[in-house]
Amino acid sequence: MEFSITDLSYSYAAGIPPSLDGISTAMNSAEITGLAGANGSGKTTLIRILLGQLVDFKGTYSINKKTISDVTGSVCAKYAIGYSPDTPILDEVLTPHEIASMVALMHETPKNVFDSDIAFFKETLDIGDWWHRKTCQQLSHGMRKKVSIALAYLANPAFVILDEPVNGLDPVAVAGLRRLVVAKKNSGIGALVVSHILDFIEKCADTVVLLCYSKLIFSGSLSLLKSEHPSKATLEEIYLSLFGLQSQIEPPVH
Amino acid sequence: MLPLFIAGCVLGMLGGKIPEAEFALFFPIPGFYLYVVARVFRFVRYPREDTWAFVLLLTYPKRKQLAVHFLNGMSKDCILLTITALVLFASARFSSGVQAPSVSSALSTMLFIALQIPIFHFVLRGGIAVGFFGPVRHDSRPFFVFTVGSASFWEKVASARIAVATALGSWTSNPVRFHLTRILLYIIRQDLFGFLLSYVFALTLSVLFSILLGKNNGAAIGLCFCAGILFVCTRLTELLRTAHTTLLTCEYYRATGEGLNKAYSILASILIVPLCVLYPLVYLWLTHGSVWYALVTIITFFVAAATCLLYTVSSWKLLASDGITVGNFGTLILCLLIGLSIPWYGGAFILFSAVAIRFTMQRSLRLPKK
Repeated sequence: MEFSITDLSYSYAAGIPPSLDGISTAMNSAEITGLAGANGSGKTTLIRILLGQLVDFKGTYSINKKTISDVTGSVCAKYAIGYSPDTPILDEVLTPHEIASMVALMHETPKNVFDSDIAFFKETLDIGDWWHRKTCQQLSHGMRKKVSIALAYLANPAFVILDEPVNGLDPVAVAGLRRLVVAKKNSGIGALVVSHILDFIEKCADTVVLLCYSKLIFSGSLSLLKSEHPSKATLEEIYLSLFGLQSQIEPPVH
Repeated sequence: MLPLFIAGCVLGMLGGKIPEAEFALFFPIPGFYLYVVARVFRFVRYPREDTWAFVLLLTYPKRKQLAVHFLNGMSKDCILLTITALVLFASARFSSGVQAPSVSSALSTMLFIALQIPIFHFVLRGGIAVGFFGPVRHDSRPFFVFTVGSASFWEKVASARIAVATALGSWTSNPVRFHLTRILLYIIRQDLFGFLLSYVFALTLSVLFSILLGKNNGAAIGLCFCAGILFVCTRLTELLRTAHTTLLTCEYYRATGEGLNKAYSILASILIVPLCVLYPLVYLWLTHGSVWYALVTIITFFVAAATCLLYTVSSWKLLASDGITVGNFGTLILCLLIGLSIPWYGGAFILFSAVAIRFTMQRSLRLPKK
């Protein structure tokens, strides 16, 4: 699966500066893409466009070379895109296992595939017996996040968008999540990981997209970014040096 | 201490003075130890959920020690209660003149009660020592340790619950199956006993009221059964409102409201079948009318039942959007009353009225798109 965005701009209302301004980038199922940027730089707007929630954008957005404006129905359902939002809304009266079973039933996932998926999620995300025992309304923020990530990957999507997946997770689960994302990439499920934790992106992403005040600062492979900044050892150092320069630009008033 | 002493005095006096109340002496000790079992089970097995916050910091062996201390303390309290009760019991019983059979009976009662304490105490103590109250297999704390190899009890319960719901919904095709299974899970998880109780309640009351009020009165019998159907459907309505709202907001469900609507209609239809079967039987039994008249009235009733279903299907949608009004409800009840009192064309009258009501509500019946 290939996502392609060309000269994409979006403004929430006429007369105010755009939330995204002339963005061009590409992603695919064979790799993990990290998306980072300052608060208000347009990350959420970009996700909402990718999910088909915002449609009146300027520019071109296509999946598998098919323009999204020509697609009828839900983009997520049509192209099997899994999504884990920053603040997940779950079926509060059911347990995570019951929701997972419902999602599997909806997608008609075979039982052996479902069982092995759940076992893998439990192992990597450090999921305890609360998965079967507690209803979603009894879960902590971290537990909800784990459920959200597991559900996004359930029913075999072609691509997954993870919005702030590390938020609320303990270090053991963060390490497990990294393993999960990479293992799924190796089985053909790519991911867009949106995070402020640059260390996480650096350790699992193949390509990086950096946004600053609605504009694209960098889009390409992580190795290319590092080769452009040989004096910086980590992605965090590169990010700080890039955004240090950009801080001279006056942020747009929304 | 003082409450236990007072309780012991009351129990002893009661048992001693009134021989029929002697049985009251047998209950406090098992009740006491039942509480101990529940408490120990909770803080040894689920320390995170206990009201004693400090148990979270204790290891499993320490929690076992705490359980033994707790058991000892409770046994001492229990001894105080029992001795007080037995002393008062004996003095009350023997002060009123003792005869040979009642002495042996009182002594055996006292011996039986007194023996309960050491039996319960040592059985429980042994249970704690051998690890009968083990910790959960997978502690929800991040630094958990595995203590048991097999699948946990909760995992089995959860699997059984899902298996039951899936089996009940398996005969339909997707996406109705998904909705039906989900609604059944909602019922099993949230309101199983309440739902079954209210359903049996609706069936029983429909028959009872028909017998009490509807003697030789076809319309009254029909109305009783319609009320039963309406009750069953309305009971589902509240549940469906939650299911529908979550369906629209939950990111992981990719289903529309149409499937939910169909699942609801199927479930409500299944649930009203027993009422529809009971109705003609009760009707023919009570009215002693002609078969032709009975047939027409039964047809009227089935139309009324269908109307109830149609109405409640609409009403849960209304509940999800604007909220049902008293006027709409009153109009339907009036239509039902009029329709059932006119056996020949009453059914058609009810149906037309319901369709008219539904169309006037059309604007608020539209479901929001996901």
